[in-house]
Amino acid sequence: MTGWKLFKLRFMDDIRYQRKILGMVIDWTIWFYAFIPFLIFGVLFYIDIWKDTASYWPEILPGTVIIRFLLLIVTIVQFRMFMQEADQLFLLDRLKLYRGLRRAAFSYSMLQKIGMSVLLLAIALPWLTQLIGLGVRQSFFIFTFLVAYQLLVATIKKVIRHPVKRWILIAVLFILSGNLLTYLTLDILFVASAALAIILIAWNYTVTVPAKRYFFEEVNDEIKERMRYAKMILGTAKEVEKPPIRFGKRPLILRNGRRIFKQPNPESGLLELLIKGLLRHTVYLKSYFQVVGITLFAIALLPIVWLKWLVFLLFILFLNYNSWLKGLYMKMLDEYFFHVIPIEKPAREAVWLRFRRLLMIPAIILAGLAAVLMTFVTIN
Amino acid sequence: MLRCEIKEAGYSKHEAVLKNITFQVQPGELVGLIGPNGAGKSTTIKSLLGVIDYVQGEIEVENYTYIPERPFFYPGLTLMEHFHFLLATIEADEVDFTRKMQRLLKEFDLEDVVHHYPESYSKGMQQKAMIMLAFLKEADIHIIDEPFMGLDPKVVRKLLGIIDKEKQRGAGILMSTHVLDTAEKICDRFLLISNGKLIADGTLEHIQSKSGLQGGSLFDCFHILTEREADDRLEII
Repeated sequence: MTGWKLFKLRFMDDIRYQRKILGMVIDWTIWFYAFIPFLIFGVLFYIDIWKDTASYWPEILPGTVIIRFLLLIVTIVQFRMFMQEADQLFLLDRLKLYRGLRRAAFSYSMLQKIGMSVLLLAIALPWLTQLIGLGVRQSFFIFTFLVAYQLLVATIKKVIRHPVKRWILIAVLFILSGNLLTYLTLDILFVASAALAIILIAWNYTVTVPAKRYFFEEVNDEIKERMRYAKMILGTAKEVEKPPIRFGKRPLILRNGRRIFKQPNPESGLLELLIKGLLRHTVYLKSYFQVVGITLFAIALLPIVWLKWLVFLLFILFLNYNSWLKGLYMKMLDEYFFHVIPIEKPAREAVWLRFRRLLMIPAIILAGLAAVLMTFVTIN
Repeated sequence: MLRCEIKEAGYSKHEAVLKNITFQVQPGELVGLIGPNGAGKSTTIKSLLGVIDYVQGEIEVENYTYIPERPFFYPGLTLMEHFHFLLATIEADEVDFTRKMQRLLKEFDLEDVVHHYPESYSKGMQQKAMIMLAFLKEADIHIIDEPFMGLDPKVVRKLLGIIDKEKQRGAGILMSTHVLDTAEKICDRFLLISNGKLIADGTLEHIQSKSGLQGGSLFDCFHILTEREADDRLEII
């Protein structure tokens, strides 16, 4: 087995895996009725942009913004090294194979970046040539600049481990790179970009590619990369519950854990837990605001006054008798944690009434105010 | 007191994992629940907690705490808020509770992260937080599943000290563990489960006499008894 063969195995396995994932949601009908028409439409649209480029660009924006836009798109890049967790057992001690695989993976990442730059440049070419007035030679300079920028961003992502520092540096680099276009001539920019690209490739080949110290981060990156389509599909599926987003190690709301209720008893304790849990659970909070938002939207939009009030009444009935609020409550109590600190049934039942009131009253007041306001607006 | 008289239990009626498991844990007693992997220790604990679908028999356990093998916390709550919730549910004296909480926080070195989400802790820190929550409740019975996993020797020593204090207070403790040398030193009695059956229940002397290994370690007795049970099972098949 050589590093190149191992890379080929992993690369092909990844393609088969991603094809299976996409195959679960994309069948021939989607290809036929969505992708092919989209492709044909895209080609026609592209031809039209070539014919009349100026009408596809807002007049107030300078043409060079398109290059900044390209830089922004390629900021997502990183080097993919195809590392797997089990490599700790089977690969890390076989240095020749390990380095061979990583060299092949790095070369693939390079090709990917070049391909990405070619594709983006091809799309942006009508604006670059007709709006900014670049020729073929200068467009090649921009291509080199894009490749060098991608290499630098990917190297920063590899070397700087602290996420905040990493993103600050990338943001600064993005701003500086955008401004370079104003201060440097394209010839100088090309020479600088080509030199930087060569230095970065050589440095990565000799320093980061053979190194073992990035291994665990690369394993995590590989898991994310492998799950990219699955995550995208699950992210768009309404049936799949999304995990809440947590910002940092400490909560943003009630940061120092201040108690809401002064007198501790099982009911107030459970209610406080539910309030804090709800306020810090982005998914639960979003679903609550969605229910209220849709009602407000309907009240504002409906043209007839009695229809507005009907929506208001239905909203009250929905909150009272529909299982949504109760479902939310039951879900919040359905945590294994309550086996560690159990809650008795009477407390659960008493807290349900308080929890319902707490969520219902502000929503009803808001919808009621909207109904009154919109009644006046409609009548007048 | 904890009383368990399971005739049959499992994840469904057709998949009974446990058969005839009968034991008690008296106040002030530390009982070690031991057995090979897949023997039925976790199912026994789940049956005691009432979270298993099929249990035939009688289980009596009140005012208990449970320390799971894998720590569980309420999502979106900091450790301090977990303490507030515990205080509210047990309705203890606030001053006394806070004093004990501060002492334990210092002892387990969690003072600096008390306002952080426990989900952001390391496995060992989570286990320490779970132990704190359980022991602050001062329950009559503690059900502990693999308490030593992920803890450093210093914390294990502190945990053993707390277990001893709890015993002296009069709490009964049922502790499932694979760390047999520690169990041998601290447990008053052992329940040896193998293949869903209770194959030994008694003190170390009783286990030694049953295994025919007078003066042998719990580790050696465990090996002989579980092997013997496996051989008996093979003969029946």
